[in-house]
Amino acid sequence: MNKIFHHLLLIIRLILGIIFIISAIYKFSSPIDFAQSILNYQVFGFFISHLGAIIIPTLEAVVGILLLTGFWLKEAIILTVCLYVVFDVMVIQAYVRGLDVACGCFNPTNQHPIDIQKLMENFFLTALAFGAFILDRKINRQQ
Amino acid sequence: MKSSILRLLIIILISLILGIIVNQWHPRGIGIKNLLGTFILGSKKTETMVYIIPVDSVFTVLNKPGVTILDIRSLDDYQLDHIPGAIHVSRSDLLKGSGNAFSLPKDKKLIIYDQEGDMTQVKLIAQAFGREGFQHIFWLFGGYVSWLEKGMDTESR
Repeated sequence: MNKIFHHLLLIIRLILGIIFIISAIYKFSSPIDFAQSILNYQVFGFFISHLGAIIIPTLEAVVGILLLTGFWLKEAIILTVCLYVVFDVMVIQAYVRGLDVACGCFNPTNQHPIDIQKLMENFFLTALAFGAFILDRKINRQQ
Repeated sequence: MKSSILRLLIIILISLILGIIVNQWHPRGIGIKNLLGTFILGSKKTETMVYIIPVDSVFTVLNKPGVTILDIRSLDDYQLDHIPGAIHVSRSDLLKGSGNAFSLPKDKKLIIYDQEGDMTQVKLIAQAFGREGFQHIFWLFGGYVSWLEKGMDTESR
């Protein structure tokens, strides 16, 4: 059973790690556009939006590398869950408020609007992150 | 538990430092100067509220009555090319409270831009216009560089 958990966790780590690194590369291409994407959600002010645009791409890259390498795995998974929960809250509130904004979740220059499909994508990734968290705890307990 | 929190803090700190370094040399990055500008803008009230608007929003109001676009770059840059219909205003005159911009009707919506959308300028400009009684001030996010990068039309004079 423990072996299955290990393999499952490895697959989820690879998926999330690769997604984070690709997403970070897109966001690095234009931090100003990413700051604008955050501003468009009308949750944070200018300072927090700009600070977020500085820290989130590098955080995604660092967490992505940690997920792939397995170094400081527990902390990387916690940060992954936190990031996806924040992304979900942002997207859901924009959807509920009916804001006509592009998601900017993966690539800030992508003008794909927030719709059910986008919400489902985000929920799926959040579920994977939670899955990784639960698997990691189970493996650690068994050890 | 304690070591986990420490590791989380280390990861976040490393990400912040790397982010600042990357943004400092990145051509479309948010430099320290701009970050501090957004902090000043967000934390202190100015006499006049300044709305930060993106390129697309400016494009939709081009040539509309009641809207005036002000270019505060150098005169040489302005003469080379600028946003269609923009009027050149000397930045130093503006900050001194003199110049042609203040003779405009007070109810005009003023869209102001510089080369790169330097956010540290926004508060000073808002104060200058606020003293003169202007109410509707807009600042082009990312400045003229953003305008060009979006492939928008320009005009030479």
